[in-house]
Amino acid sequence: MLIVAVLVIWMGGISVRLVHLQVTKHEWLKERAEGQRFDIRRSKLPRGAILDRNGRGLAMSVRVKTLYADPTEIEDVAAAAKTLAKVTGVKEKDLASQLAAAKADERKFVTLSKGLDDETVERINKALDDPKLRKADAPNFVGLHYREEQRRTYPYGTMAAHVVGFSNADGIGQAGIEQSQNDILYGAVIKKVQERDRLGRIYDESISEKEPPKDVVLTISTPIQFMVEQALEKAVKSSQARSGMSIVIDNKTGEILALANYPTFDPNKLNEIKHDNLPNAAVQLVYSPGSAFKLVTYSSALERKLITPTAEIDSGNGTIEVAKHRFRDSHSIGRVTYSKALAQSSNVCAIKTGMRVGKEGFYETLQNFGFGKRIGIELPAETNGIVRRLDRWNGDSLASMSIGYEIGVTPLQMATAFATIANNGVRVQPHIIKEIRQSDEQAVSVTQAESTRVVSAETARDLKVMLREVVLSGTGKRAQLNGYTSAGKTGTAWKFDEKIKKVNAAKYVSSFIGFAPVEDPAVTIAVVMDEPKVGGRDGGQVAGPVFREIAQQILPELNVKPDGLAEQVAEAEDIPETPSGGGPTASGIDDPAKTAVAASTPKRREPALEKKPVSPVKVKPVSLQPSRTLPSGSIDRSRGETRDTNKRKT
Amino acid sequence: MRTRTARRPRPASLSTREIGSLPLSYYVVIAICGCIIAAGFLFAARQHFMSMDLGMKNSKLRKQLEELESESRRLLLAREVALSPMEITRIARGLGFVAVGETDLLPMVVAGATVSQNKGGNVARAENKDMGAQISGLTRTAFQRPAGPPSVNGELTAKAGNEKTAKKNEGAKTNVIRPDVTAVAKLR
Repeated sequence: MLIVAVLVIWMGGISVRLVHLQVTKHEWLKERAEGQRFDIRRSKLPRGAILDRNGRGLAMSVRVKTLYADPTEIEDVAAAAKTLAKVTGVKEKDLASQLAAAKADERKFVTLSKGLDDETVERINKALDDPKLRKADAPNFVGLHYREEQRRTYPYGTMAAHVVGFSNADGIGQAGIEQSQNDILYGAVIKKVQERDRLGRIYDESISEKEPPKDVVLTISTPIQFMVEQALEKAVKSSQARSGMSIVIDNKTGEILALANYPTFDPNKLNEIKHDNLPNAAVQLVYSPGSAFKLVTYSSALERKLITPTAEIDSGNGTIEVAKHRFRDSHSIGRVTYSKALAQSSNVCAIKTGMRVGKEGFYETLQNFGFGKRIGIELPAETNGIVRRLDRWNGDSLASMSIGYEIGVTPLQMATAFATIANNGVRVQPHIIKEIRQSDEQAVSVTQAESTRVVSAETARDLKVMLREVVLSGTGKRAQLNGYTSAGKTGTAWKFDEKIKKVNAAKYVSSFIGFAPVEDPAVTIAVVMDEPKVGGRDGGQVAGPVFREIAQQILPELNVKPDGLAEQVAEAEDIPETPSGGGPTASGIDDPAKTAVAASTPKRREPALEKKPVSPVKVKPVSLQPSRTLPSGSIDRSRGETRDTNKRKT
Repeated sequence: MRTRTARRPRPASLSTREIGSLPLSYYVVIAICGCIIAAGFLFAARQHFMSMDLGMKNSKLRKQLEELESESRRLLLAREVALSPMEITRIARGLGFVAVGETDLLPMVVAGATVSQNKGGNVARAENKDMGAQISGLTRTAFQRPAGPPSVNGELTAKAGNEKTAKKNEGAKTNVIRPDVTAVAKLR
């Protein structure tokens, strides 16, 4: 009986204890057990790469490690500091004081070394290995741990820096594609729940992640970008210009093959970046285009069938007065064809043509070309340019705008306008992102550019003929190519000086925008030089040779067949675009303060543009027809004919 | 008189039977059940430890995969850096090469470079500021491709004795910068 009683009491006691542990202490014990077994690790996936159209990496991230110490786990701080100092190269005294202070504050994170690659980590692990200690994670040293991070590298340095941009230490894009596509490139946070045994070995792991980062493939071609940047740098340095911009657009697809600014910066060296070099002037610089804008003037007249390339116009004595303001040509050309007028860059002829079109027609045309609004490229901080509303135009505004003043444009807008003409009057939406793809190279989205007809194919064809004349016998002779035909327009415009609040004849923007070959243009190349000081000043003298140099290199690169004869660069006397001599009045504008537009870059950053997928619009193919001549019975106002004097021709 | 009460034979109760030994079959059944249970425990334990082992191997493989992916990224980056024009230019210039067309327009300072004298006897230093003044208004174009892999037999490689002949040649029309012969000779 006694034994039974003892047994009963013993088993009862065990049962009570069992109930106490399993029921009363259940949650506490479970928490402790899970705390011992489970380990939650959060890490980021490497940021998506930015690649060129051929898959060359322009921005890539690699995993690196940061060695840090948890002083609360270290008993002998001084001894630990001594050992660490030998390995990390940090001064022992500084390290010891740092660890001691952190321990006193109960801080658990003291950075010892950042940005360590695998080789360095191996070396440190070997150097710090403590055989007496058994630790689950490396290094096998008390109180030391690694944290995984990533380092962003730009292998091509300054190449396409304004396009690619850069990201900060937190992996957030600050400029360029890094900024505008930050959501796509950003590494998602991975949550790993690891179960460990008593020795710390992981025997079960579950991973949860948000949407993984994707790679961005640009339309930029690295070889073409390199050639453009080389040519631009050389030209800016030789002409001692303040800056230079160049854009190369594929006319048919709207893909931007190169977009260069000089001076530039190296995104790998953020400490050395000059703030002035950061803005992407190709999309942010607003300037008066000058004579290059005559493309719009003559486009609007041709589209309305007011002129033909072979019809004549009288420039008179080379001056014209509009609303009490006098405009004049650099040199008198008399009565010439419209082609010749554009080739010689006659302001008088352009103003007369603009006046024939009228305010409303001219405004409509420049809106159709996309001026006054963003192009919509996938780069941040693109500016609209400056186009005043029709109701705010002065009496001489139409005249000024006809010759490229009183309007602010960006280099990209001008390049797009010329690319439209080169593409037979169809504007293909310029874009710089080719596709977005996953890390396994599977495309997630492919950019499909929208096409819009701006002018008729006939108008485009006539304009090509006129622009060809500019290169053959006009102000753009230095843009002639060997083996290829080229066409384009020069532009030279005085800049508005904010200090003196009027146009400064000592400062100008020289540009040449053209395309090649003429019959079936492959690319449009825009070159804009800001404030050249040495050598020529006109667009044909400063920017034309740069166009030539770029075109000569990239056309063979694009496998474009030569369509012209090898010809010497015309060494004949250059035709000046602007009147010689200084002074704002020499520009042909009497009151520049009233008519000039401030050329400036916007200081306020605008939110990044989101890439909107666009659906392609089918454009009806236009059948090729011979150049249009005036039908019989029509009136050629350039010859002074009126309905009263016209004799019907049969 | 004695009365005898016939005792009925009592049916044998279970307890009477239990008091005796159990049949062998019961022991066999119990043993079999015990074996099955034990086997089950062993099987479960084996599975448990196998899954633990598998989990550890899985974790190691995952870690190995991550390391290989990191290594792959690093190699890709190294390849891009090696193929970048800047790196190629740096290496080429370190070997004493000069880009085509650069000698006429923008001479650079090359270590140990010497400059030949032109006809007028003016020694033009390999500095941009002097040459900048000599740049004509017309910029002649030249094909400039990204620097290719450096070659010891490149066209601009200075051959032994070139330096001496260049100095002797006072009729040279343009200033020519010759790379340091000794630097190239050492490579060979």
